[in-house]
Amino acid sequence: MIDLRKYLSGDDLAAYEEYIGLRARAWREGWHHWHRIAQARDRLEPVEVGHAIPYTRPGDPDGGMSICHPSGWCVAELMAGGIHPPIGAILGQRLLLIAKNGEHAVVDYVDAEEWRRLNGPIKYEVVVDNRRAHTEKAGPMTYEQAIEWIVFKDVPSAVWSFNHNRPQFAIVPRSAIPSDRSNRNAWRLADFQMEQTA
Amino acid sequence: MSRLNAATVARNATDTETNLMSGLAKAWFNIDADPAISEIASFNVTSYTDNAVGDYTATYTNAMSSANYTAFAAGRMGTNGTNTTVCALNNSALPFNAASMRLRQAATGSGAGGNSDEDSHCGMAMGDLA
Repeated sequence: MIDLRKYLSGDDLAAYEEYIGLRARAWREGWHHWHRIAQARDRLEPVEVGHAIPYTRPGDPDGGMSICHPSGWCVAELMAGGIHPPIGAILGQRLLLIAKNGEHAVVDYVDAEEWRRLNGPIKYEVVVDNRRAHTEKAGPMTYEQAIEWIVFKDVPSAVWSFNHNRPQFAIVPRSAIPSDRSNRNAWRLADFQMEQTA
Repeated sequence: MSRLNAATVARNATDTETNLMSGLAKAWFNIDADPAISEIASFNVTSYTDNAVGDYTATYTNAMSSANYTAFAAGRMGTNGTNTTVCALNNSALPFNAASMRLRQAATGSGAGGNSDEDSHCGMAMGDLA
């Protein structure tokens, strides 16, 4: 274990201490975000998800393409409402990242992947403020809104948060994903965009 | 044979919150990745990312409190009988992120030819929640 107080100060330290107390209380009293998910799992059926999100990382244009497949249970939970926090609460979650080279920073969840990419191998990573995920609840969403919530959460922000000179991701029907994976690692986003507009 | 019916299980006064919290699986999933990822069952997972052949990331809905937790992954043995699933994370000394785990179906043994997609992969995470 490391002493987080070596890395946290001022507002970050105060927020961390408040968060630790709130998280313990949430768990003890049964209103932790995870409790809401567990209760929903018992009463909801998964939604059949008909879409996937192929994307390319801007920092790795020659790298392979990734494809995000939303969970049917998560989509059902988002459509039911009252279980997951608004996406802003997820993206604003604070993480302390310590790289092997000694660099460290407290960053928002939305910026964490880019920080990891720029600072190389990570030695230690800890969530230091996740209060809003426990205290805030998003209302019922449409299927489309639920898919967008998952895009913002699970597709790296570098893909969707900046203007690029060409699209970096698409939301396509699952039928657009080739069933023949023999050339999987050569797939490119443009192949799917043609499918989308065909 | 005796039978116990109970809607809730009360905590013993001597139990600690930490023990109860740590003893539960916090996320788990079972997916079919051949030909495309389809979810068989899951808990506390938002999505699965197909990174490449035999290379997938499962992202938790409620993240873990840090990257210091444990995760397990397994996969169906391939037709060549030599495949095994391992947890890994590219470009990092950590095996996992606080918010996700990455697994690979890697061929091992003689005749190993790289990663492969199989029709059953599963994983589970245990540790403290954020």
